[in-house]
Amino acid sequence: MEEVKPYMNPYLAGFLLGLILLATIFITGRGLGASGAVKSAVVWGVENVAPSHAATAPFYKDYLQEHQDGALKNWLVFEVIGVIIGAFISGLISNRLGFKLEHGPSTTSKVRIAMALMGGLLFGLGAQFGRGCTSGAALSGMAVLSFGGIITMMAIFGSAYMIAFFFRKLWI
Amino acid sequence: MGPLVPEIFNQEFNYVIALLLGLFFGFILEQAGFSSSRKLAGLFYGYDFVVLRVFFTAGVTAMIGVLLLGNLGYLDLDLIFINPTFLWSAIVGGAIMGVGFILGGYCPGTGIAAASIGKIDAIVFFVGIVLGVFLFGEIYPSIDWLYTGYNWGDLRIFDAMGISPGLFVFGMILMAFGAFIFTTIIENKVNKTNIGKPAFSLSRPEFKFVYFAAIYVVFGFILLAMPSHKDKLWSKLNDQTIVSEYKINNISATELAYRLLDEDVSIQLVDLQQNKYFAKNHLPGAANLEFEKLFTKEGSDLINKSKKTIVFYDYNGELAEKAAILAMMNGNKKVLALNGGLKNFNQEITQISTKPETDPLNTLAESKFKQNISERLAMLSKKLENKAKPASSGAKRSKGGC
Repeated sequence: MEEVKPYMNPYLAGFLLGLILLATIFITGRGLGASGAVKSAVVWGVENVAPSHAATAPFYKDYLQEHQDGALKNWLVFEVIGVIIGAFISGLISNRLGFKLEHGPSTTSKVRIAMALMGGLLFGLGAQFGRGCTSGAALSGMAVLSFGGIITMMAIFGSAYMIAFFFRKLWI
Repeated sequence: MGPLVPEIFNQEFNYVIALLLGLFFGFILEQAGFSSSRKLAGLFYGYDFVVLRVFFTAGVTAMIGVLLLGNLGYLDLDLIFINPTFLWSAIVGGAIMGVGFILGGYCPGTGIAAASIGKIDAIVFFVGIVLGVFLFGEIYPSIDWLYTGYNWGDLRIFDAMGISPGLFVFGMILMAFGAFIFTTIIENKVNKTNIGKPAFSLSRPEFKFVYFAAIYVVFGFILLAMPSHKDKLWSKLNDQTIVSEYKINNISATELAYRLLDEDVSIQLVDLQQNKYFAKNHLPGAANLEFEKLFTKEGSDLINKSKKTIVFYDYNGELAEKAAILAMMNGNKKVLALNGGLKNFNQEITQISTKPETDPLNTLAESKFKQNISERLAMLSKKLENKAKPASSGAKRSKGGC
């Protein structure tokens, strides 16, 4: 197996990411995102599994009304497909592809899996309240100097730092 | 002038752009090491601050770019999506996400990037996000009060703080700069690297970023001193040496009245009053474009694209001349300004004088004439009523968010 290549310099990565975000805002008038694509997928799923529920429950109904061409025809869905391809290409050229599970030295794989599921659930839930996640609300919000975006960012990192001590066994 | 969607690129092509931008986004996330939950979680335990470095550098880079392009007039900041502020929903959501970050080790964007290269915890994390969004969808009606309450609108942080955008960005640059130095020192301590060496030294590779950051500070100073696009136009408008280069073509109330009654289709009246005053009183067939709107992409496009001769008017005639100069600066030569404004037009053309005149016969003739004109203008108004809507190019703020 070929050697795994080192990660990019973080400041260079940040600079390039900033340019991509700037290009996104300049071209499309909106920022980057991630959780919004999951929302599209969830609405699409509910629409296909339980159409009557999707037609009555406001969360799905409102979304479908805004997306007349179909729940999946959303800017972020296309963007996230791009993210998947881009990350895959990056993993491929840096020899980082492969099914792996990372966890802290004082925890087990089972705990890591359970916590990853729980963490994802909370992130998915929180991103709805926050109208975006770290990408869509915090990063993109910061770029356009949105008060709400920056508040969301401070709340994410503030709350994470506040509870980090109690969950230190997961990571260190 | 940006944003390029929807005018230069259509919505369908926008999806192709989304895919391409996403591709770069995912590539950088993975290259930065965001596909590793242990690296990400390092931020909260002090052993790896890569998230802070990438995130802050990206955020500051983009905000410098946005403000710079806006000030230079290349990007209309009134048309880009500003994440709206629903105060408590943002705080509660952020707090929940923070817990999710500690437990899960990823955020959605990084999780998707990590899942793409086969990280099993990231794939599970992704399933979790799906469940979380679904959970929200199911409980949504009951928490609507929080979700849609405390709506502060498209509030910008610098407005909330009462400072200029340039000052805010400058502060963020300094904050990021300080945070990078501080966290690098912490990282060395926690990881027990470079023991016995000075905490901070420009000769060590982990502090080399300072040279790079210095460029950002320069940009910060530039933004601090730079007027906004609107302020720049406004000061140009008030600069006599610049203004005197333009010859304002005026139209008198009498001539305009004749052209209106002739139903001259080569002119388009543009009323610069605020919506509420426009609604109370305006000339027949006028489109309403508030003076402030002339400084935006929407307003300047409307004026520039008009094939007719624009006749600007406001209540007392001051703004119309400024609007005419502004339009000429933007390259539209076919503009006129109504002399004396709507006030004078009404006095000269439609209002019947009540002051005693020396010549009663003349007064009678004048009042009859004015009454006739008033009636004809009122009829014309009625006829053109459906055209007298507030002007709009259809340019709307971009939609965004998650």
